[in-house]
Amino acid sequence: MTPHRSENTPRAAFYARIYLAVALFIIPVFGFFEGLSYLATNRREVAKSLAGQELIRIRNDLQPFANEERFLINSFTDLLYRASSPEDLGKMMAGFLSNAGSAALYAVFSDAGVLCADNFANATATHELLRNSGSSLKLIVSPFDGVARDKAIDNMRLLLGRSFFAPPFGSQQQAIAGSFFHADFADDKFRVWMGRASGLTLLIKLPTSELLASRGLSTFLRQTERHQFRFAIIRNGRLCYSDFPRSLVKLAVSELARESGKEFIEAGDSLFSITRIRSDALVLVEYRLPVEKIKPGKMTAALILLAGFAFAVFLRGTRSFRVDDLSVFAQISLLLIVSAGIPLAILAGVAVDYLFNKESALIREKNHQMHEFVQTVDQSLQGEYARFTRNIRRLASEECLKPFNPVSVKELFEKTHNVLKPVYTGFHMVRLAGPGDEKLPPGKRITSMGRDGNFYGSDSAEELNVELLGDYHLAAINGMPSPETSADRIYMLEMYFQKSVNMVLADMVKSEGTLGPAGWGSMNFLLFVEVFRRAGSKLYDLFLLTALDVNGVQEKFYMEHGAAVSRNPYGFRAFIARDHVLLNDSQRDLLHRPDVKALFWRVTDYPLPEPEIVEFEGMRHLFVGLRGKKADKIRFCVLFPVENIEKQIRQEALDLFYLAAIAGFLIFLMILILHFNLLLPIGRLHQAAIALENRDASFRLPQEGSDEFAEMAAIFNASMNEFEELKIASIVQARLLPARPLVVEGYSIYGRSQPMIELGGDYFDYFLIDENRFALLLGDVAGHGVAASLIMAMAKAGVICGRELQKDPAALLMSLHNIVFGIKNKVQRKVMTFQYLMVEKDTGGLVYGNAGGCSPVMFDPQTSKITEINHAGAVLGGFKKNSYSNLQLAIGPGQAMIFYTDGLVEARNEAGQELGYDGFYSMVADSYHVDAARYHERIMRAWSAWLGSSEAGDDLTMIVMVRNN
Amino acid sequence: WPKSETSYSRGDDAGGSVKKHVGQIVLKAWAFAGLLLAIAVAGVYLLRSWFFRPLSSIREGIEAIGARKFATRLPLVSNNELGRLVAAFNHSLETLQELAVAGVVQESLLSEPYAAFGRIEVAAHSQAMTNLGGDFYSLTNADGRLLAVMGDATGHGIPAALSMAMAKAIMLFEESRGVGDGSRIMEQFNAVFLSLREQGSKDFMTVMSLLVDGKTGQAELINAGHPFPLLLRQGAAEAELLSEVRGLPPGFDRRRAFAPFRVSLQPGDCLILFTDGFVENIDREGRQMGFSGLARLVAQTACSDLRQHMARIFSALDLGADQRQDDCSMLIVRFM
Repeated sequence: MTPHRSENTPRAAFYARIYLAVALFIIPVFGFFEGLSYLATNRREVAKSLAGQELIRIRNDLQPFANEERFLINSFTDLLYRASSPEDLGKMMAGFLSNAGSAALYAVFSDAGVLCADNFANATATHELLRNSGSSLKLIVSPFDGVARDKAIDNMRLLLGRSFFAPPFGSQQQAIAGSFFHADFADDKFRVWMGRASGLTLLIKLPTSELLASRGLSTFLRQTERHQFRFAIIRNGRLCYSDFPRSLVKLAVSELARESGKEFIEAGDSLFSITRIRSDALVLVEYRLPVEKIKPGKMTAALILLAGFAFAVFLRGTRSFRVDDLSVFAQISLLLIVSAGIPLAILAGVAVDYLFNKESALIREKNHQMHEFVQTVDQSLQGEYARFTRNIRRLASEECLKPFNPVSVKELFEKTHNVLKPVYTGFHMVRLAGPGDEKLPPGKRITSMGRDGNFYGSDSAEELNVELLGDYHLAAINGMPSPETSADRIYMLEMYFQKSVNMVLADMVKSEGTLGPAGWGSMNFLLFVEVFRRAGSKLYDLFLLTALDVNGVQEKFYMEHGAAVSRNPYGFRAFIARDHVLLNDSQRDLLHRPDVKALFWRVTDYPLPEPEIVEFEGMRHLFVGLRGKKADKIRFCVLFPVENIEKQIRQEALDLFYLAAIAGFLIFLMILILHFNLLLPIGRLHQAAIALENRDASFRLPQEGSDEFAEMAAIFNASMNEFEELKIASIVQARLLPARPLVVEGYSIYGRSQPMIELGGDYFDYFLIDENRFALLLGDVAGHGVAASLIMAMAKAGVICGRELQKDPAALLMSLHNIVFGIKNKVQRKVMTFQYLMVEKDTGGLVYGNAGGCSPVMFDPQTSKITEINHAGAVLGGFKKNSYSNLQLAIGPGQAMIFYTDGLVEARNEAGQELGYDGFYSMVADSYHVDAARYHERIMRAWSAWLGSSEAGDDLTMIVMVRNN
Repeated sequence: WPKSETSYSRGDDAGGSVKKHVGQIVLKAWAFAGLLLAIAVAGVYLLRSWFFRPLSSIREGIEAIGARKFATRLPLVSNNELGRLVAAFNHSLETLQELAVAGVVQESLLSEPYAAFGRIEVAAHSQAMTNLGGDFYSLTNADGRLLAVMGDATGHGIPAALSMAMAKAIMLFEESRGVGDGSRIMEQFNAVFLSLREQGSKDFMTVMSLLVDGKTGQAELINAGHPFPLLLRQGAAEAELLSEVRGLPPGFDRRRAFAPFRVSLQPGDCLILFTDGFVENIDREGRQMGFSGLARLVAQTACSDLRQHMARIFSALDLGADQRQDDCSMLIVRFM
């Protein structure tokens, strides 16, 4: 069985090999590299995006600290709320001021107005004043406006400064000044701040110069952990603080200045951002990007080296490696890895990457949604304005157009008061003289109603202004010249609006019929102006002006709709506040919710370029904080837990995992199917093949199923049956050979035959002829197997039949020749060599006949001489006319005679060398022993040693006869 | 892939870059599909060279065995389990080929199945259960006399074939010396099997010799353990069982003298020798044929052409047979 390779031409095989190398090695390696570099780029992008968010966050965090006034107020407020007693507050204040290195003066008063702690200069007149100022201060820090409060302010001026003034505070319980008050305009040395909470009142007198210090910033820098952030502060174009080298600051600032559209600049492994904290100060923030751990080039090179090393080790382990020679299991595994493993690995990589990117995409999407949500909530105020407009117009058109009389006017004003009660500040009607107006008091053309619902009693400045506006407006609408007015009144009006009367009129005409904001000096109003034509009048003769309190309207609207905003379908947490008042929460004042208050510090006027993530209630939240566009007095904070986004990602990851599990299960199923339908049967057949190799005839395969494997098993079993028969036949054949050694006095005789396969064609025998004679014979049928064994059996029978010829070797050979030749088969002609030796026991005389057999050798141990006994004779069955003759010889004492078949001399060892006659003769000479059995054994041992691991190519038979003394 | 934009790109530029990006993604998808295809083709190639080549080679082996082309050898494509299977198949093929060759050799050990000389006509037929049978017959013309020998080795398969080969050797030996009579042949059988039994062989053979004078029709029968012969007289409705012709098989009695049983054949009479496969034959209904069944069958199928007579007997045997348990052989001698 010589191994055949497939008949591929070497060229095609070469191309196939190149293709396999490319497809199975280079492509995966390339894919690995691409995947890694893609992953690395993506991670970098995500890291940059995260860094951007962090920079935004830190910039926002910075704001309350950057403004010194706000920082101080926040600090004081914080202390005020944390203090448990006046003494405690005093101690904390002293600590804070000494920590900050501030020269500010403070005083703490109890609820009863008693001075409890202070650091004003003791035992002076000022201190005396301070001790007595408790009640005045309590009055100032209150919502009540009036003469008593004005007097209290007056009292305090002695202590605090001559220009001291404080507007009324928001509420009775908590009152926190939003800014420092001027104490003396002319000599601006000190500013004053006061606040009151939970029965404690705190008064601060701060040197004005300290407002320009940067204590807030340094506190911020102290608090912020610095391993990722670094800061530089630039004031008036000079670097006054820096965590990093000056050159880097310069580079970053100039880059940021050049690319003014960009929020961030990437330089080295850092992201820079700059923010203006004051008109004269900039802060440069650096965020150090995390070091990228994935290095595609190095990792791919390492993989190639590793794979190469493993392959080299593998090649060293196996002498000549061919994938074809791997076990079926290994081949199937390799195939699965190639056809399912590589694509699945790539898909898994894509999926992981998808999820990785999905999070940032979802955060962006959510952020966008939150912005839109804020805008929608902001825009909904327009509806409220429209509702007000409709209400006012409905009232006016119902009531104003009736002929005027005091009763109807009163009714109208009452109705108006009921509708607009909480929010309007003024409701005015100015009318020109018209029919049916006679009953009104002459000269009085304006009717006004104030906030409290009462008619204006006397000619107030406000009423005069509105009357003037009404006259002018009606005149403009009717196309009539403006009425003559005194310059005083025009001046008053212009003072009020802070712009020229013509501009005021133009604005009013333009926005007639709509509710819109109007600047009323430092005050803000929503103004609604409309003109009407009363029945019977050709001209517009009625001017209606309604001024609404903008804060009131917006606050009222969001208070009413805040709950609906909170219950939005997106799952957003929303907080709406005006000043310190939360509008959509039962907690009305932000002072009770420091965490929410901290959120409102982050509110900006414009959307941020990057999503902002904040810590809130111990969880990470996506945050949007915006001031209203429409509702300009309102600030919105919207939160969405990042957890929810992560949950969604987890859900998607879970879905992907299920898919992967299904894919894995399918592969497992495939392996099972392969196992049961291919590997298991092949394994069984393999067992059978091994059994056949080991010549174990009892092995049988289970014959089940009806596929190729069952067919193969059937063939195997049938083959095994034949094989078993051969085994039995070999035992039968062995019985044709002598069972016992021939025991003859004076001689030692031993013979043995060893067939190559079960049945051989070698035949040897020895027997006594009479008392003085015995015979040895050795035959060898050409070939082996069953056919040879048949001829061998015939020879045996022939020898028995020819017992009368046993003394004449030539005659016996002739008879045997007749038998072999008599087989009339032409196709499978069989020939046989045969030698026959008759020994005369006493004399050692030999009669030898040979029919083509290997010449036996005579060995004399005395002389160590080997003599070949050559005696020609044709093989049995060779030619029709054969003749044989006898050769007379003699064997001396101690001499040995050895018969053998050609299988012994024609054997080839591992190196492919043939033993040859000389080699065999030297073995015969070296192994001499007087006992034939030992002699035989020694020759065979030498022969086996020479053969090594290769196998005998023929049947081996040898007879050894030694004549003893 | 969503890419984080840290700066806002200008509007007109964005459309172009998006289109370019989409183009890149499509290109990547095609490239990915192409790579997968390349890998799949490689997988198919490997599958073909690893599994289908050896499997188709094994399939060829199955087909070769089915078509009894035992000379086929399968190419050895790999050196794993499948390679070993191929090797095992080659081994099986080798064994089968050897058996087939042995069958041919054995067949050549039987005499020509038909002979006619003097007033004797003789036909023989043997049907083996397997490749190798244990039945033996030999027809020799010994100076105008017919020497017919029929033997049946115990068992079957190769051991039986070996016994049968030895029987042939005895016949060849005797022929070369010049045939004497039946008793000489039987003595040789006795000697050979005696010798074998002494060497421990358990196989033996039943033999019957028949010597018929071509002129007179005088027949001499010597039996050594063989089933009794049948004598079919001309026109008889049933053959006669010659149960007096008996004796131990060869090799059981060293000093046995083989005395022939004589019977005189009339013209048209037939002497029929057979092996026990006939009498032990069981038909479809489960009835054993037995001596009487065979005696009737032989008479019923009688016809002028001896070879046709033989063919009829064997075809009747085939028709009735449920399963043949042993080799069947028959020898008919007719005196005219």
